[in-house]
Amino acid sequence: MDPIAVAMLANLSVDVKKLNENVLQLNFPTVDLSSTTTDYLLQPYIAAVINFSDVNNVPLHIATPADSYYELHIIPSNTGGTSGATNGEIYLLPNNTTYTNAFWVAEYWRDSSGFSHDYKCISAFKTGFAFSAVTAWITNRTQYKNIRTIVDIYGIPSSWPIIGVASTDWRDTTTPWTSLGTIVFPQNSSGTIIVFRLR
Amino acid sequence: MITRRFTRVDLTNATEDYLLKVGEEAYISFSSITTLPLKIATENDSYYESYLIPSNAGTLSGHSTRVKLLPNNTEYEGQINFTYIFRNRDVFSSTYETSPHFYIGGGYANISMWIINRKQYKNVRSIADSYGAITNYPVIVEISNDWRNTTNEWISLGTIVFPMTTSGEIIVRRLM
Repeated sequence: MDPIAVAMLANLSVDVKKLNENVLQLNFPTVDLSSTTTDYLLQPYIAAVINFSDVNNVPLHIATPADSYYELHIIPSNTGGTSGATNGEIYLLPNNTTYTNAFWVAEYWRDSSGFSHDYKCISAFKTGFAFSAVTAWITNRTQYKNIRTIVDIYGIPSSWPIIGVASTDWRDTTTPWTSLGTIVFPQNSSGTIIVFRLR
Repeated sequence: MITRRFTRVDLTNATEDYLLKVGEEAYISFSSITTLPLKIATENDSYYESYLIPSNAGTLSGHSTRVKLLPNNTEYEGQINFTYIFRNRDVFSSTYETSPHFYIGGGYANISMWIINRKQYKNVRSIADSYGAITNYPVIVEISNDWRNTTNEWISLGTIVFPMTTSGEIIVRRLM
């Protein structure tokens, strides 16, 4: 698609400069998907912003093709503390569904009690725990699908902060990942999600 | 072809705080200093990613003590908790401590970090390579700091304090 058309479709929030015949340089173009109801195909170099309030799941409504790559940030707005959250995992459900025992996660973390680690089979991508500030990198190739995360966990005893690092591989090399999916929290949560498509 | 960029603001010689806007990145070059005032004003509900790129030569000599970020250019005794996990030449270890500042690296540190400024939740996470000490070169460390104060305003991103004279560049991008 013509890059000018892409820029217009992205509802650019800041200026666009055409540098020459072949290069279009965009200043942090963003599209707000907070209220969208259908999947939007995020183009490379475009950022999606999703604000959410007091919900336990957030459909991202982002269509994703094979061979794409993203950076994802979850910036929670729940008040800091050692209570208020649930001892449970935050997942990203690709294609807005679970795939029973199709994922493996390798993870380690440090809380106020000590260092721990785990390696286990799960049914979606692990992206955090309780309330979490998340930075994640997402690889979508049909033959290799991965999410890596570095998170701060709070809202439970022994937290505020917890440092957590994880990598989840979807051990399926044939299923297309067509919708980036739905974030599912273990309790109602609020905040902002930013997704950059880098490839 | 489409590219994405952040609008660069060079704050190397800034003398007062500049309010970085969403989509802007501050660039600061520094040479042989131990304190670096970022001169970046910040506001509630903002979010940043930052890269600290040292230019000191790789070495096994020096100090491994903290690289600090002092929010509002000051320290808040007992208000910040941090936890980290690291591996250096000799050990794999972790800790959980109280601090008056954000702990973002050690020695000479090549740092990627993410900064959340919400009045009710203020967090700095980093992943760093530390060098410049006998056990470091490299060290891999992951750190998370929570400022356990849900009412204080964070209005100046702050000052970075190095444990030894340091040179390099820092980039701060405002994402929200």
